[in-house]
Amino acid sequence: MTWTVVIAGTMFGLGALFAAIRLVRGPTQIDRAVALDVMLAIVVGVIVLSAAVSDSSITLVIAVVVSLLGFIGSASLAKLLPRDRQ
Amino acid sequence: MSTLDIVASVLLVLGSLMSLLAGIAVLRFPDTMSRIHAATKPQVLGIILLMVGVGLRLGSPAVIGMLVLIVILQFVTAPVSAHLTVRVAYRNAKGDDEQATEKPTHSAADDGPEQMIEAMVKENSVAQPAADGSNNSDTGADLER
Repeated sequence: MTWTVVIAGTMFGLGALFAAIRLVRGPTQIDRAVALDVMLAIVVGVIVLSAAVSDSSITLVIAVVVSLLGFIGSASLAKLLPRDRQ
Repeated sequence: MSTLDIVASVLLVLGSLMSLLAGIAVLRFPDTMSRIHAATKPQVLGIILLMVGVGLRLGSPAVIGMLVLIVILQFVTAPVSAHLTVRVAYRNAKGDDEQATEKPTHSAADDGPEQMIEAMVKENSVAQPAADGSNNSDTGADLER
């Protein structure tokens, strides 16, 4: 299980890093919203991984809340972002 | 380390691989649409793999219920949020042309069926004039709606 944590944690970290680079660099606001969505999916994955490692199901409640929050955040961003021309 | 643990580890690594692939794709893809397309992969497939891995490892009924709840939430909400985002991206990519082309396409749609009906009337005027008249009124009601 230790190697699982190392490999999966590295992949999660690299994915979050790339998404953060896109979050900083993104040419449009929608790219930033997409990068935030990916980062939130990675957060859910990390929470679930920690639950699997520590053999406790307490943190899974946080995963439920975060996955709901991701939908609300993404939908409201798509609704409220100003229409930028090109 | 039992076989179940090994399977759970493989599933967890695969689920995290989805997140890595989404990160690389979001960073490297050239277009907003393709980035969104790649970004929805960890939200559905990655989450499923991770949940199956955790369910194999923890395995009590309450935990599995919560995992199924997360999977169902992601299944319902991920396509909706992706659709909303893609709609905004598409409209932004179309830009000002949308407002300009909205009217002409509507008038063309108004013109198209009428011309078609006129052609049908010309074609069938001898055979079925009554059927053509009802047809015409039907399409008129449809256009007004």
